Amino acid sequence: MNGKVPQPPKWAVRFLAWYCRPELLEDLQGDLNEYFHRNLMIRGVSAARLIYIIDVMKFTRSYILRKPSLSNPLNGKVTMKKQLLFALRRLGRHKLTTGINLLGLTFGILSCVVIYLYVSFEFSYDKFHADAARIYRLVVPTTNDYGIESNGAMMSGPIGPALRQETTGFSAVTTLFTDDSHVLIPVAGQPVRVIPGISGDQTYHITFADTDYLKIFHYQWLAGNPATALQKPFSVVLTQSEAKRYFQRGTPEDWMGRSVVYEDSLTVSVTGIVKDWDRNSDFGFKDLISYSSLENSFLKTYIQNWNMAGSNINVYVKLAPGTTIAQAEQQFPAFFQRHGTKKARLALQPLADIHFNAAYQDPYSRRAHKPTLFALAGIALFILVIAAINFINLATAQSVLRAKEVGIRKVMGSSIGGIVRQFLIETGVIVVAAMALALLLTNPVIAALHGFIPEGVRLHMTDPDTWLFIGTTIGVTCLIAGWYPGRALSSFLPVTSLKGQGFRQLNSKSYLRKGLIVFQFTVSLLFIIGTLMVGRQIHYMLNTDLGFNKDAILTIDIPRDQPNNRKDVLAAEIRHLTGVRQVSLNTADPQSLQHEFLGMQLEYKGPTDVTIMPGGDFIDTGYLSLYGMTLVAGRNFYLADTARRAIPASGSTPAQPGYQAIILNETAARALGFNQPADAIGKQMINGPISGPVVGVVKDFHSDDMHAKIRPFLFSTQAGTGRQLSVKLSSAGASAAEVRKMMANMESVYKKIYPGTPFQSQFFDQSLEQLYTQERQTSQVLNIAMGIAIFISCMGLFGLAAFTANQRTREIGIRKVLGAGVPQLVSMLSREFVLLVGISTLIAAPVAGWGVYEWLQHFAYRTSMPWWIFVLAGIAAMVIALLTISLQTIRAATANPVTSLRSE
Amino acid sequence: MKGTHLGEFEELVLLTIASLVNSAYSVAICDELSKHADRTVKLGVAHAALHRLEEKGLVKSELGEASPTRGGKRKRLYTLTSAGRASLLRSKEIRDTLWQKIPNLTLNRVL
Repeated sequence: MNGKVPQPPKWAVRFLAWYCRPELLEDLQGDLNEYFHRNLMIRGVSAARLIYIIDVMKFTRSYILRKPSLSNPLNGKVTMKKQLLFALRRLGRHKLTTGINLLGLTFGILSCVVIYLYVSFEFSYDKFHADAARIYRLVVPTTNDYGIESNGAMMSGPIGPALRQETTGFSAVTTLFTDDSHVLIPVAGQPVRVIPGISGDQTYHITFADTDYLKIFHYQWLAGNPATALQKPFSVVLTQSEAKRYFQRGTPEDWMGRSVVYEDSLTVSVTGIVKDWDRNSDFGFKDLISYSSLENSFLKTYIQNWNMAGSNINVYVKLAPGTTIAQAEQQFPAFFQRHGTKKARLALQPLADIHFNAAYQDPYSRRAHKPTLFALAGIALFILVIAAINFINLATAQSVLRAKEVGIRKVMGSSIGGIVRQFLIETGVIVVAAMALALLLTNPVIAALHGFIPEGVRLHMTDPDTWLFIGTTIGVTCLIAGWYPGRALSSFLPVTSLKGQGFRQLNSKSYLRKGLIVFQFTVSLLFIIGTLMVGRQIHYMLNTDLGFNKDAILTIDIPRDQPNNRKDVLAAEIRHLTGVRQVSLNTADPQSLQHEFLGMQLEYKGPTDVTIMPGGDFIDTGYLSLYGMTLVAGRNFYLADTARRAIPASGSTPAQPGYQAIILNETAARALGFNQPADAIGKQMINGPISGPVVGVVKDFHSDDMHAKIRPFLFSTQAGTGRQLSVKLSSAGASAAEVRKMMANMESVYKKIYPGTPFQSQFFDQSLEQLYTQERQTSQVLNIAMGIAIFISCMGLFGLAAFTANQRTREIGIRKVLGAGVPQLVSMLSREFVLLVGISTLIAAPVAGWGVYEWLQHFAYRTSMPWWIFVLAGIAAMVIALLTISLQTIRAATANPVTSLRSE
Repeated sequence: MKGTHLGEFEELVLLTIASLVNSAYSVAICDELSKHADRTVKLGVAHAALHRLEEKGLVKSELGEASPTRGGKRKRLYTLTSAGRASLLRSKEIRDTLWQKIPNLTLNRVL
């Protein structure tokens, strides 16, 4: 017979094989072939084919159809059940490899799961509001010349209502006045209950809001009418959880009409109860007090002045359908011209941006840093890939051992697909086990990272998205880890592998293995270099000469709205405590995020008129020496400067302006046009209605964090302006117990002067460190990532070393017999790995260098990037790699050649 | 389990298997039936009947030799089990008993 003989249609043959029970298949196929053959003779090809197809269709009877079950035949005779059994047996036999793979993949998947939960948590904020795309917040997009972004979300009270009346295109405009307060609950016949404020991320849980607020943010109402609940003054809408916290028991109907007292003085009654949102939101307000209460209470002064903006006053709008942002925004310049305010630039910030844009702060929501989230996702992926690489490397290395198995399988009729599938099943078993372990560990790990991961991130096994993620991760990991080894294994030619020449086939593949090791160590080295450099920059920022002294200085917050003279009493009393060397009343530490003067204009009418916008603080006479700052020209403030009246007396003419003595920093002196600091002394500076002479020039210091360049800065002095008391302790080397005793003394003095307000204090060096929270978190993440990456890579290396040492046992035996020593053998076995780590260093150095350089661009003052960092990282990686494989190589090299050579 | 009652077609198939002795397989059974019973027997029908008979325990089967016309596939050869033989005999007995009760004349007239 030659190949020209017509055959039945292939698809029909395959279709029959697919649906037919295997035990019946052969007979049926034979019968159909016989008929086909017969029909071929009588009726011709096409008729025979047609009849064949019709018969195939007619065979689809219940007793012929195969039952869907695990025991389906897949490749030839091997069933899925058996493949699973083979897989488990193999995994059990190679305990070291299995352990390494399982541990590595568990770490990889665990990182992925934790980071996925964290990232998806952050991106879930405020996604659930109806018409979320039309909700915006009003902001002022300002950035001054020195890169300090001002708080552009703060508004003044009258903007919202005026906007509602005078502009078009908004379907709702609402002003939020947010606050935090303890609450009094009057209960009939019982003493008043005091409910404390909320602590944590979102402390501002109270907002004044009007009916428009309810048009923008929707609630499910349990009691009350959304149309009227926030109309009348002195009414409040509570969420269910808040009402329970206040009233403890009862139903929403019972709570209606009850009284709640805020700030000891604002009495409101409940007009509505709403259900708490069960989704993540930055608007975690639980008490909605009618905005009209604000206008009718002692708080009204805060909202009536166009020029008095507060960070707790925000305006939210909802665009009318069909209105574009541009259409809405183009009304703003005219709007502000009408009202004569300087905030001419006003923009709309989308709701989705609020959770991520750090430029616009408010006291109720939390910011997430998008680049960090993306970087985290990248890190998770890298770690997973590193773990998968271990799998690939160990599998291809061991494929030598499996060459015979594959050969026999092929001889027995297994297809390439069947072998790949067998291997993918082995991979799948490990990946699923790793996933199970990772899921078990997820919640404990999240709990352990609570400083870094916000509250509320948890693994919820009921969430369909989580399952989708789990499924995808398993699938993708199986494919990355199992596809190539399966492919490589199945490509062995049975003839060569059964003759025992599997090695030769594999040699070409070891380039891939080496490449993957290089990749693993490159990633590990990136993390090592990153960790070293971020640590170096943080160290630099905290330890470089900042222009002031930061040791043994404690700052105590002074409560606002208390008589000014008490500040002096506090200062004097604390000054007399033992262990206190010096005190100073001032508005901020030399380096702080909250300097007193923002946007102040200082004018100097010299040869030419110069106006600068310096930052600045009010200080007293003790400040400069307490913080160890150096005057380069002029003098310190006198007590007389502090005592002089700065604000012009009411009714005075411009001929009698307010007086304000000034100390500039060198940068400010230069900016005002003085070549020498001394030239500035005695020159009159004008700040609106206030003017005064420059009395001194202080050496430049870092008034902001290291992200910003040193900018023009000034100190002034004025009685009663202090917002904090800086205390210099005399003993830098005091024991912890002594410091605690001093603190306790200060607290008791404080409590005597300010009864009823909490004592809040902080060491200056610690608050400086808090300026770099972001960087410290970056450093922590890199540390953890570095640890995991190195750990997983080394485990892979360990497994490979064990395997190569094992493969070369006989070679080593012969070398030993011929006189090779242990050191030679160890170096022979280690050489390849050292070379690979060396190559990794060469690749990682420029990449890491570029990445670190880019990162450092965020800082105005950066540490150097010395070459030895890269060498150090390379050496560290090499030492770690050598230590990892040393156990294996030394064991192999010291083995007795008799044992290895005997059994040939 | 279904009863051991033998349908008319099943009985024919069973007889054919017995008559073909050691070469009874699906296609041959179809051919034989078509030839002697003067009706076209479809392959699917034959298979269904064979399946039922095997389920009732009246026949047993094993795979035999392959041939080029079958594309290298082996045929399933059927043989009677003792139960099969017994049930064929019993149905023959029933018929014989009934046949003997018919007087010759009556039959001729009827036919």
